Amino acid sequence: MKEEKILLILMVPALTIFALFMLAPSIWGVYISFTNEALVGPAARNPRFVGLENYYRILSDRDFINSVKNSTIFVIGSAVLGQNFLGMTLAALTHRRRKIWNKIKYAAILASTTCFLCWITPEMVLSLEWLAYLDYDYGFLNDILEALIKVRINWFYYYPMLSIILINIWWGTGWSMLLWRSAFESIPPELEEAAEVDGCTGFQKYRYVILPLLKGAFAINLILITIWTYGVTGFVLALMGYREETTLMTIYAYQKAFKFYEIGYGSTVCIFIFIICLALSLIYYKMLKVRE
Amino acid sequence: MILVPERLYIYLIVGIIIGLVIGVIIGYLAAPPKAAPGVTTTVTTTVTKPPAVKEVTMCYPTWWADYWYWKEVLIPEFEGYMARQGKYVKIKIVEYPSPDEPYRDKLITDMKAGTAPDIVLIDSFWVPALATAGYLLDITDLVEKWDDWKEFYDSMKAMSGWGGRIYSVVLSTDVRPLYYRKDIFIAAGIIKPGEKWVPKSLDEILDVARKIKAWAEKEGYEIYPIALKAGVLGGEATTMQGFYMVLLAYGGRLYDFKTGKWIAKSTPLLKTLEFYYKIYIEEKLSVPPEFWLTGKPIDKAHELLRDGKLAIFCTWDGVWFDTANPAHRWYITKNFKGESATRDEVLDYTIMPGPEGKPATISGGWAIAIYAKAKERGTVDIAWEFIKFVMSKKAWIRRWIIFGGGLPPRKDVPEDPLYKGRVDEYTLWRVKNLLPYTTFRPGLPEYMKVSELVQKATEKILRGEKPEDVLEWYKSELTRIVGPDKVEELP
Repeated sequence: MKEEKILLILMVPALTIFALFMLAPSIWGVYISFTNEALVGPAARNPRFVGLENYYRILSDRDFINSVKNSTIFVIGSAVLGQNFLGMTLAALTHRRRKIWNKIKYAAILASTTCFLCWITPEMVLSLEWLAYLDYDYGFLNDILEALIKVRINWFYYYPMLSIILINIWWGTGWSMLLWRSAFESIPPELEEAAEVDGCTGFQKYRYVILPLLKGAFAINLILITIWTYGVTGFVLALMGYREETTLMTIYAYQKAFKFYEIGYGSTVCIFIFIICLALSLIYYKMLKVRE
Repeated sequence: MILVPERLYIYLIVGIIIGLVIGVIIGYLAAPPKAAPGVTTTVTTTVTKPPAVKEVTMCYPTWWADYWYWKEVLIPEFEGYMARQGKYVKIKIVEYPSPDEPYRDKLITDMKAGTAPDIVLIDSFWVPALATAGYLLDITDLVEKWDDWKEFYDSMKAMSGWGGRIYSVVLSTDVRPLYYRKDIFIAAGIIKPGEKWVPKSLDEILDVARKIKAWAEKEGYEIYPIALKAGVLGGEATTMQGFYMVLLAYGGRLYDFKTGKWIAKSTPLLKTLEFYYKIYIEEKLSVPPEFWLTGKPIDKAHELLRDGKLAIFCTWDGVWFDTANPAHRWYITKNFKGESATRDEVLDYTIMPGPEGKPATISGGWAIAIYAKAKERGTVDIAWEFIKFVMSKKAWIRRWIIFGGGLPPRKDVPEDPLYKGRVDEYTLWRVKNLLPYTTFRPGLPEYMKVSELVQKATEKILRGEKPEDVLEWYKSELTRIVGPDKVEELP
């Protein structure tokens, strides 16, 4: 009992921070999504409870639907397909348990380190780096293209969504690679040896022995990178502004809350982001039939 | 095992509740203390302590160049002035170091939270949005008793208020001229050396642009005859210095102040979109449309003007000084042929021609106001005295002599010998030719959304959509955003 009381006392500071800065704002965010709360205008003076009005409005809001479409394409393209499978491929090629590890060691370390450095780049720094790379007038990639094939491409104008998908893949693959690497290395070597003894080819070994064991890692990675990618805002806003082709749900929420000061409506957008992330997490969990 | 699992949830909930209670207590203790009532202590022997000093707070955007002047000169002078009247006051500056949008966000958030300073400096076009939110004190009765108020331009008075009431006093203002490269104009035979170009209509501007295009193509120069700010990336500059300037030139507006409705469709709106379409798509008298759609188009456009690759451009009045400032990236050093030249040799300014030959221009500017909660704090009198002090003619002129820049909101300033003796030709031209005719944006809460709609409309033109279709789109989107009862159509 004494130990339990001590533990409770030790937990209080952390729980205070959690309660004050995470739980309370979340509860308040849910509450104001049912009001017309704003920071300017008559609604700032007299906010009122409007029930589900924001929710009805949002479902017929063309700009919101556009942002959902953009976010979905962005998440599928950059996270689910890009980061996840690229990370898995890099991990499969570079994990230490590979028989040819000694031959590929330095290349593997270089690839891993590069990937990791991309992942830890701060968001505003990466947006400046990619602006320097893809810009039509001064971009390094365009300088190379002009030197080789006498062509300059206005990437941000003609391929806005592709540009931000590529940037996000570059940024986030490091995490997927790390997670997959530890997943690969957690598979007991005896299982692989047993499969080889039973006559499995390399492909069969992966298909029937290794990949089923990685379902847990697959689900966890998908859940995390989906939630994170739905939350990406900074570099897209910095590079693209509020362009229709690349307005993600987070950017739309920011625009509503901090450009137009309609914080009630902005909160409603955030609630939808939460609902979508929760639904997708449950779907991944069910689809992959992850068991404890 | 320290904890029984089923008790863990109970401990977590109890811990969160304790955490919330502690948090509320900390929040209460950390809240700014209410102003303590003044206490006068009189020692009846040989020493008398002075009466308590009344403190009034003022926000200041520390990124302004004249911060030191307010802090080291104006405020101490004011405090001395009040002391001589037996009132002991202290103006305490609350620094707001973030510029532009973050400044606005922080100030608005502080106002909402009830913690903003007593005296606030705001962009004048925020007045309606802040006044309708109840953040600004209605100072109509105060200004009407102020003798100096009659010296303010009518447009400045209108910019200071909303709904017939006054909520601020404009500190200084600006206007938008039309710039043109006179070296190109002379070489193309549009004007003679020493002559000033004064266009009478937008059609004349288009004619001149066509002549410059023909001349440049014939001579092999890569020069864009004209550019207007366009696209969403240009932000408010697209609306104010591009679209709105042409709209005003055609005699149109975005908002009808008489009816209190947004104008969803009108001939001037259509003509403005047609003007954009002509210069960007139909006749290609300007930069390629995609110029405005990526990167930093505003910067690039000014660089084209600097380098003599752009002949006619509408932008804000401060650019005249930037182009002569060696430290500025738009500093002009060459003519359009690349030969050494100064700004005065190659650049000139003129009016955007409006209806009936009058100039069309639009103004912004910052204003000084009193936060509504100053009334509860009992600081309104001191705040108002401070505003009158800094906005007196003498104080305004002295600040202008040291820092230059903005235009006076007062009509009596241009007549003052101190001002007349020092003012440069360009500023005098602006004061006499543009300031009396200026107007301002309707800074209602929904203005930002309408402004974005205008930017998107110009972007649709850049992408080749027809003006009539874009106007229909603008009408339906505007109606959706502000509501059908807040829009009207005009001939």
